[in-house]
Amino acid sequence: MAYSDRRTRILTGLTYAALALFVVAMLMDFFYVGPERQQGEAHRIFYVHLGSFLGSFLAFGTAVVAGIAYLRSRDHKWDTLGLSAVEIGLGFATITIVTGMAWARPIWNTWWTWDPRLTSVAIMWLAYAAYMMLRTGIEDPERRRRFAAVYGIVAFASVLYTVIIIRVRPDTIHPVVAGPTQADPEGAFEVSGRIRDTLFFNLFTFAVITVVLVWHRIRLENLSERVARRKMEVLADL
Amino acid sequence: MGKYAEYAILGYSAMALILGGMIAWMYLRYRALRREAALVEQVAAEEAGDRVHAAVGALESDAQPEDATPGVSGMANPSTDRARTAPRET
Amino acid sequence: MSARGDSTTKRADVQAASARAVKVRRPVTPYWRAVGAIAWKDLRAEFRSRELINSMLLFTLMTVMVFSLALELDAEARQTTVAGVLWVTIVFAGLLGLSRSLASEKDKGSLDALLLAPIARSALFFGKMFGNLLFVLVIAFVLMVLLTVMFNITLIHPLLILLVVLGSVGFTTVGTLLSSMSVHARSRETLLPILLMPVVLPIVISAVRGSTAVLNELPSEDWMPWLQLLALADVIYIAASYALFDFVVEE
Repeated sequence: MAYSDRRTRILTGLTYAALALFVVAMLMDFFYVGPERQQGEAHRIFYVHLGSFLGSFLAFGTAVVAGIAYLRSRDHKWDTLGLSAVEIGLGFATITIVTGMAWARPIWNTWWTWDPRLTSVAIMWLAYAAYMMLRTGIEDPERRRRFAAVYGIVAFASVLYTVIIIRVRPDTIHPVVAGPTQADPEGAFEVSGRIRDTLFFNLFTFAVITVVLVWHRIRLENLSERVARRKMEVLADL
Repeated sequence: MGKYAEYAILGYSAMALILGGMIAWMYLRYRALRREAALVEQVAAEEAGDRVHAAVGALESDAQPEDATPGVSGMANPSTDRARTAPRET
Repeated sequence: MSARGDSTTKRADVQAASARAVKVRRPVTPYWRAVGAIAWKDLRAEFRSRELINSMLLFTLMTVMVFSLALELDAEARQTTVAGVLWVTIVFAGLLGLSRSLASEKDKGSLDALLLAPIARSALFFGKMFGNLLFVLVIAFVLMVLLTVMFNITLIHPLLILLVVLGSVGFTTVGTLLSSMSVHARSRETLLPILLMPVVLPIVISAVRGSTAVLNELPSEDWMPWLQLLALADVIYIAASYALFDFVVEE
């Protein structure tokens, strides 16, 4: 496949940048910022928890755009983007949930609770896992792409729900960093100074990592399709 | 070790594991696809070679120098015989 | 020809072709009559065989029995869980109805005939949706009577009926859209619940919370937000399904 040299150079550069950013972010998480007064070391999880949530949000948002673009243009490169974005997004959503659980155990004294915020993230995860199941369930390729685009759009409602629910049900015990302050958060802390710097750096890092991973996944998918096509050509001639 | 440090380690290791897992899975698939592509090209090259041999009506083992019959066609009756197609592997 | 030129002509072709297709399919039958005709067709077919409604009713009865026996609830626990039992049963019985309704259409081949008919695609969608909605509402009302009897809690309450209607509308709207997709899959019976559950969970949660608040005679600020959320979700899902159904059934 003829990828332009310039594009490949950008990707390679971005990949190294993502790696470097990640290393610096980890160093900041452990050394630049100190342990929090009440939460001790557990508070550090906050940085990767928010970072991975941003990653999944960006990825799923990309999938919606890709779905709409596919339905309008029927160019299957949009479907490849949608698939890659959902896969990577699902991985980041998993990280969000698992890091959240690791933080919740010491702070809330439970791994999980059916608090509105946690519930909405679980729903989001299930919706996109269902997207993957839909793709494996439909055989005809054109129909698969069309249905996946439609479901990717419908599933995004679950992502919106994660944002809307705190407006409707502000009585969540999950700390809210950006949004209406609520009645009784457990484990909230002030985001200022070094904490704010580290947070923004982590968010930026995870955004870059998401872009890099999705880009690589797209290339992987293109390669996979090319190999499958070549295989069919060769076997047909045999 | 600080307060609740084990949970921080738990969280970060989980993150590293999942992130690393995603990257590793993509890389392994990439390697497997590369190998498969090479295999497919190999089969294609062999098969192109086979077609050349079939058109000529000979296998490499047939075309030995000592079996050469210059001036005499290998086919018994050139006007009716057809060139053999490559033998099907059963 | 440059690569750029190729892609723009291809896009222009696609747009022209779809514009032509739309022009050809000008609906002949007035919209709501078409909707009514399709819903009525489904209902009439159901009256003749009564297969679907019987299995849904029996399923409902058995589910309520399983809940009553397996959960071993005392009076107080029953008060808190009855809304959950109600909605879980509606969802599962509804799933049965949804998958059967479109599956039989596709297998008989009548789905293609419906798609060729000179009606707007969305009329087909709403016709199917109203048929499904009616089945789900029948189940829901039977269930409310059943639970009133077995759990000894009065479920015949105007606000609860409103919540049931709103919840069922949202459920069947998305359910009809997704079942028209899952019908093409190899394992259609398992794919529909997987696709539908995450999307419909916000509706179920709002419906259950609202129902519990209503049944426990809580003040209106406890159930009003859930009612509003349900209404909002219904509007969003109806709009989305209306917009997306065309893309699902185009051939």
